[in-house]
Amino acid sequence: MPPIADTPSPLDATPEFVPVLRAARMYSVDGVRDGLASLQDAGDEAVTVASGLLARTPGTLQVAQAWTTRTPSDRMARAVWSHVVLTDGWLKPTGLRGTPGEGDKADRFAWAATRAERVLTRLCAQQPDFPLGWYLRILTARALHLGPAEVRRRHERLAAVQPTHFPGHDQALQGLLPAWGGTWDVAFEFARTVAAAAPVGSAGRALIALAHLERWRSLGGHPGYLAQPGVGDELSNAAAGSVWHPAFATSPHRISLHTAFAVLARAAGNADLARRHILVLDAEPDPRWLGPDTFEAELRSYRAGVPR
Amino acid sequence: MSLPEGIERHDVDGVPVYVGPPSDGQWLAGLVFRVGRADETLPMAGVSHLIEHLALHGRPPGQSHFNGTTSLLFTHFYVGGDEADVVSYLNDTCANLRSLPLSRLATEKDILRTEAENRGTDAVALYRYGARTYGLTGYQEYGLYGLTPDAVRWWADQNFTAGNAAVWIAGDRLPEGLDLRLPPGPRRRPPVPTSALDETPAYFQLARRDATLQALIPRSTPSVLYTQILATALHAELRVRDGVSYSAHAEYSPRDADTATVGVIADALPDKVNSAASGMLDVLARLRWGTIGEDELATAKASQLRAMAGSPAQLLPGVAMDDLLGRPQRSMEELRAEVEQATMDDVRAVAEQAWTTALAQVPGRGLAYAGFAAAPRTSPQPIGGIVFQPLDDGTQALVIGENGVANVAGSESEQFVVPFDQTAVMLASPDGARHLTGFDGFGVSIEPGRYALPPQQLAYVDARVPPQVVVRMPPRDPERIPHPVRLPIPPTQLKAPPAPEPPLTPEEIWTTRERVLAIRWAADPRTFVPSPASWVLAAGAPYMIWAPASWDRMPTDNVDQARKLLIDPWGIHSRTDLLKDLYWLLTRGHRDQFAGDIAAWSALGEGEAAAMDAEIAQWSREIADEEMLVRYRHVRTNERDIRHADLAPFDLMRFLMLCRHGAAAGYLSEEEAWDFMLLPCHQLQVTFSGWEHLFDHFARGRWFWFGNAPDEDAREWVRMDHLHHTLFKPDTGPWARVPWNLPLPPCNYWLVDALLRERLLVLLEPADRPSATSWEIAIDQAARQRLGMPPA
Repeated sequence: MPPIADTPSPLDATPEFVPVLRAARMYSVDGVRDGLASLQDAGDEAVTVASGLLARTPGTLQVAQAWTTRTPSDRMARAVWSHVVLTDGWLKPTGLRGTPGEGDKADRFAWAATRAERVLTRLCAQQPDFPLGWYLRILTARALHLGPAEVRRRHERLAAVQPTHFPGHDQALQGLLPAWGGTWDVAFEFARTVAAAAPVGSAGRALIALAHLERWRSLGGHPGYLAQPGVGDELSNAAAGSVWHPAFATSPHRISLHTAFAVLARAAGNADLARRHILVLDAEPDPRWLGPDTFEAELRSYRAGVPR
Repeated sequence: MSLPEGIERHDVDGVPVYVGPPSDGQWLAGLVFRVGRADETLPMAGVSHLIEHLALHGRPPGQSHFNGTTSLLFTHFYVGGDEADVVSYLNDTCANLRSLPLSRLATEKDILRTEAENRGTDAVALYRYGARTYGLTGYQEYGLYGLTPDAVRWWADQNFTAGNAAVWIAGDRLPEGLDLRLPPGPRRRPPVPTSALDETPAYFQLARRDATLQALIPRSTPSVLYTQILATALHAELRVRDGVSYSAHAEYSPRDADTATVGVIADALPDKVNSAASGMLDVLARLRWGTIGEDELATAKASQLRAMAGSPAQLLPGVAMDDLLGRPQRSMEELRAEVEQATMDDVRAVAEQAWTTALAQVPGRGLAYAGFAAAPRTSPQPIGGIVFQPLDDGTQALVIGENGVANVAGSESEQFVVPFDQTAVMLASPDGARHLTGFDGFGVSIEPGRYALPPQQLAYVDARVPPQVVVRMPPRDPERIPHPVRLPIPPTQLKAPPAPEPPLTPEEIWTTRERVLAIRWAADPRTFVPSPASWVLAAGAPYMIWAPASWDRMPTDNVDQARKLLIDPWGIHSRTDLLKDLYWLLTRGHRDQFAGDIAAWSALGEGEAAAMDAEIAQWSREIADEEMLVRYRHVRTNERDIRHADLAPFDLMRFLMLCRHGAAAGYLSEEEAWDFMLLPCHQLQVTFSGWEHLFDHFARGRWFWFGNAPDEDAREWVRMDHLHHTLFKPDTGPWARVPWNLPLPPCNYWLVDALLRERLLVLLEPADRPSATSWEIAIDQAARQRLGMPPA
């Protein structure tokens, strides 16, 4: 078994993703390809989530290289390759040739994003109906600092193919934040528009919560923000329409969104609600939302005693 | 040659005259000369335009509609009216050309300068072609300053001749009374295009509110159809669908007999212009790689056929121009057939060419992310000479050298050089200022006041610039002449650039690979007695030769060197990083993927192999990893019998190298390093029959991984020959001095302990076993033993 470099392990993911991640750890091209193909039955969003988990899994780069070497025209192979390159930002000699050495970190990310973008431009030209391709191009638009207008353009291309693609909404929201050249007004308007159009019980209904989470963090975790009238209601409605809705139970986004709601609940002083969000999970909480400023230790401690 | 129906060719005074039916009852006519801005030089730029104006002088306005235009390759005089208007216009124009009203020269120059103020210059032309041929539209008409009556007359005599002219007339007949007498002269060939770009697709940045792109495509019917499809798609996708551009369109323009340009423009609000550029590339990419709808092609064809269904009168100017370019004439039937027969593949081939020849102009963000190369922004070669620092707050120094002049900013990262013999124009102001422009488009400003330039330096420059490229400019506004007041700084002498190095001989290659490659001994080789430890060290000797470090001692004492070697190129910053890479090299390494590649590629049939070659070539280009294609071809041709090479030595000998540098860097204890190194050594000793055998497979594995281009490949084998020579040298070569069959001590698998301690290992699940490598299983077993678990 290859060494585990990252903690928590992606193998702590929800059960549906474990086989494909395990295949990556065993450098099995066939295993990864078949695993992704079987996830396709669960939908494009599940494939996108799997691709993201794969991109953080040691061994996937080698798999993606071997896969693209043998079937360069395979769209999934090219997408996974791009996702790994984009996620790693910097790949070691055990990986890709020509990676910039020890230099400016920004150079390495720009280099990686450029490589991914070239592959994805062709991929999207050839397969304009492939949601993962457009999703990844939202990521490259951000990485290349092409600006909110381009993020939106790419998101609209994705939405034309798959209007409820939550990872795409999520990444587009990030690209509209002030940190990426956008504004809070635009970001909130986008989140509310997406949420309003999303089916009940789908992840899209929760997008507004992520906007509030980002705003709260941008204010240094100010407790007053979440206590404002309107914000709490908006969060409750978002949770009721998404993570607490029965149709959401098998969503591939359950780990990520329950974790986000748990952080928001705890930040608003509602530890019981935060605990409920964490305990309903069938895997460890999403590290994306956890950090020293988001009650990581406390939220993780809720799962003490829950068998892994 | 067949002319479109309804058009007849006549000859009047040695000039071909094409006559076709009138348009809406009105007579139209034109006199075209095969000379334009691309034929000029920068000091004479505008001379054809000036002659066009002189030739039309004296014509009473208002009697008929007439005008003239000067384009890249043509000067065109045209008129609309009745038969008499046409005859008098053509006759008068020819009469004026026979005897130019040169008394009007100064007045017409002023008029043209006024006209130029309202016209921009073409930056794309400048970047693509430089300061000559088709790039001249990137510049002002400098000839309007310096042209003398003699020079104008000379240009007219050379180019406005009967042999270089054609007339077209849309009227009921060849009119009576035409007098087209012109001086005799040959037909002028269009200029051979120059290039100022190192490679395409390329881009340059210009702070404008649009993104534009120009590409070179064949002058053909599929190119016309491509442009129509592109124009429609740009509008539909960028304006209607994405809403990032108001006006997004494409235009086809013939450049010369064989080549046309497609120009694309997408305007946008400032915050959307990156998006407009990206969207524009997406449309181009779709036509190149993706799907062109049958309906898109059908619509373009229908539109083209509709355009051709009009009166033959509209074809007449093109017929005259094609004649002047020596381009075969085609009948309407032939033209229609070309449209009807054009296929999707024809259009896609144009799309491919459009992408690969593109030159884009974008604001802000460049297009490097899309694989476009930045157009040159500084001159490639510096020059030596005397350096003058600016006395004001300007940042550019001036260099005056034996061969040219330069403006240099900062640490020579921004240098603009104009060699004297490559000067396209030198504008000389009465106040002493000089501005030189080179053929490549780079310019150098000499402001005597700014640099406190001694008069003899200016005279030095003036004496070296060819006189025919000097344009004397009118006096400048005194406000615009720099007069710094600080005291001059004494000029310093810059070193001349080093002469280019001669190509290396094979014998020299190894010694110039940054450092001399030689075997280093810590001990005295004369008293050397081989031991099991020397076997382990000898197996890693190649990388110690390259490091360079003593092969016979561990660890080396140079901690900094070892850490540096681990960071670049391995990215190892810690013991954890090192252990992960050691595990990977031992259990998988490059051999894991390469063995799979070799098996898969070897099994391909011939037809599949050709398709795969194309696919891999495309993919290699896309990810900028040409090595992959080289590897593929090596497998297909079984170069160096690669299909039967054991690729493990390349991985395992790098494992040894990392252990040694890791120990030197302090990431491993010396005891650990010895034990780790025994792991692969046991395998190597069992697998191979001797050092020669090991060398053969190591060398081929390393060569395969490199995937070098042919010229580098030859160098690589020279290096490998040298390595072989060094390793097997009778007195100092480790692989000559250490016997292959020396017994090695058993290994303790301390690597497993290290991995477990660092929490870097998890055990294999039963489902993992079928795809696990033998090393993974061995390590798993050792780990289970240590954890007191039963074997799996």
